[in-house]
Amino acid sequence: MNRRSFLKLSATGSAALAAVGATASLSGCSETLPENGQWRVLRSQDRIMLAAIAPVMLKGSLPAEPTANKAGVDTIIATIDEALFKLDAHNTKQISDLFTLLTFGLTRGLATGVWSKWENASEAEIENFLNSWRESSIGLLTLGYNGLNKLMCATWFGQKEAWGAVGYPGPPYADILITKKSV
Amino acid sequence: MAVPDIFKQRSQSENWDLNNASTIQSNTTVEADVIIIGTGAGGGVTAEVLSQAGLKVVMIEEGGLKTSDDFNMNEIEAYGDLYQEGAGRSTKDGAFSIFQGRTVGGTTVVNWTSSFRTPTSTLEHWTDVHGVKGFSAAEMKPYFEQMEKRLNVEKWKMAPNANNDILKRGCEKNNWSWAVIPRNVAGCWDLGYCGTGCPTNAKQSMLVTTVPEALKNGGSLYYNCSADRLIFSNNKVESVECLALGKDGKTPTGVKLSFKAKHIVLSGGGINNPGLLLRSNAPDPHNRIGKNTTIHPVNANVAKMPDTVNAFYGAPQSIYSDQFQWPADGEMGFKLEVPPMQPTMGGQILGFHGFRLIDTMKDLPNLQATIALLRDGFTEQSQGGSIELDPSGKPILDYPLTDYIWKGLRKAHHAMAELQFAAGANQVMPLHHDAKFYKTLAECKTAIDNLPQEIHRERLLTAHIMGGCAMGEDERTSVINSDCRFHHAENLSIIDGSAFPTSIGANPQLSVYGLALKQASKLAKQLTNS
Repeated sequence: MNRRSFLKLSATGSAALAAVGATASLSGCSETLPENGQWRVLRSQDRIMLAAIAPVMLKGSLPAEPTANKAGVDTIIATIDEALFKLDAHNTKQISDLFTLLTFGLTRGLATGVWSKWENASEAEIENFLNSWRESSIGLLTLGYNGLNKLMCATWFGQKEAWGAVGYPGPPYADILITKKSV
Repeated sequence: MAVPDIFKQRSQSENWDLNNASTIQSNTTVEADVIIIGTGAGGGVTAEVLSQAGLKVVMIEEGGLKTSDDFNMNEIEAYGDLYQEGAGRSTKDGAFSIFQGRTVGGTTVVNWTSSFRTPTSTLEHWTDVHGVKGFSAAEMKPYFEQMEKRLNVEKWKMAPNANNDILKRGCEKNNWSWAVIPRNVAGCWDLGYCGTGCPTNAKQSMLVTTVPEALKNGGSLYYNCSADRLIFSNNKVESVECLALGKDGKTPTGVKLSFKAKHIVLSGGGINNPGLLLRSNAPDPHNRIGKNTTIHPVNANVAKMPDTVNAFYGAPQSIYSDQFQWPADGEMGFKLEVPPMQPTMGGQILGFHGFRLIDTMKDLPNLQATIALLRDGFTEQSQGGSIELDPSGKPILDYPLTDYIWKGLRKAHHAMAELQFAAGANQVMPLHHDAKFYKTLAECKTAIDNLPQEIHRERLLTAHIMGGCAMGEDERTSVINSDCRFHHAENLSIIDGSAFPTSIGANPQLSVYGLALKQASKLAKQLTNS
């Protein structure tokens, strides 16, 4: 992406972000999660979006082997769902606005430059989106990038499977100090 | 399991009155001499002191009850179970991440054990500028001494871990002052996992000290119990209305618990105390509740060191420097310390993705991090933030960054770079969206001067929420008097870090302990005489 189209993207992205609440609710696209289901916060379109973005965000950190990669992404998404559930209303609203922006077709395209559905988006498209949001001069987009980045990094690097690649041997005296859950 | 879970064991052998509000089936009214809302540094000490005076105390805690068997050095589990909003709390505009405890024992369960007395300059400022009485260094000394003894606060005697040693070495090379940090530990294993709950019960948190003492003395604990409203009537708090939270620790079950006592103490911290008061429409004629909230804004530099640091192991904080804490030129002062660097904490502060992320993270064993804690709330240009309620009634902290603070943050990045290069760093990166690793001090300093000073680009966090219910004798500028009594009700005290008129200029736990011991001792006398 050249600088000119990037600037344009930032401007439209910002407008899209401001307008998203109204558009999304008018469009009637928000899904209500079933009570007592597996998911507390993430709707199916959120999970599809996260499943597309996480492997690009964490490229090189997640295992390259497809089965392990998919398992890692699944763990990240399940852990993100738990983490988002803990948030109070203010932060919940921020994340929910961000996810609606990212999952509603028109705003996704305008704000991220990813015009295909997340499940069909190419790695290059997603990387462009992450780079452009990260470097954007628009605070809301930087905040959006930071939010996705923190969620994905925290939920991945906290997993045992991530530790080998970053030289973390894990907690010391684990056999003595870690109390196994009596299931 | 090799280490006995002393809380669990004592709760059985001493037959403590522990009540999980999640499992209470019907609306209940509980009466006592004193209701204490919050079980952290302020509430824990207050509960101990009042129960020792023979008063029946009931402690209310919004968080769950987790004890050493639950502390498994697992970051994800611990952040979710022991921190406010699962460690995802932030300021209103998202500029700062907020790390605050939410569990029986409060933040003392997850803090890094650094225990400093309130600096004399801070106490003098409170006396001179805020009209606080009884807080001279001489008057506070016996309270700090007693709490240090109670919680085994001593300068760390073992060698600092490499992360802290680099701070020490950098200070020595630059001829800056440094000192060993006093810690509240007994029989510490030097593990490095203070932030995920101490698995060996070495940390003398409220969970293993004052809360058990209050329970032994006949006190009661209600956890998963969220204080929703104080009912004010005839210049008094008539009752504390609480919501029982379900097994998920968040969703109200619908059961309401009502607590009545002759005296009420708020110890829920700098965000939740003002939140509760605002939600309760507490009398506030001068609009002071939740004002001047200070946070010790924290920024950081990360260094790549030639040798292994393993900043995830060893007592997290054992060395500090106050070289820049009280500058003569009136600029913002700051304390230099180091944070532990377990992979979750490390990974989520970098702000990189893809190969840039893994290229940095793969060097985790060689990374050293230094943090600066800025001393806010002392000048006109740094008045702190304010607490407001979101539409659901939950408190949010709005914290504006002023030019004065930005100047302080930049100065701190410079100092940390000077320190890290002096200590032998190969490369240093200020934690900022637009920074990278720089190979020389000169290059790094030029970059620091050019980093855009914008929120969401500077990586900021806080673990010290102070003020919002400030002490003072003038009700136009304070919420409580110098005895921590609320100005506008006879039977309400606010005893914890929210009482501070400014930030402390040091990790605040011992400041809270000393204040709580002083105020609770006085309160105990008043309540037992009446």
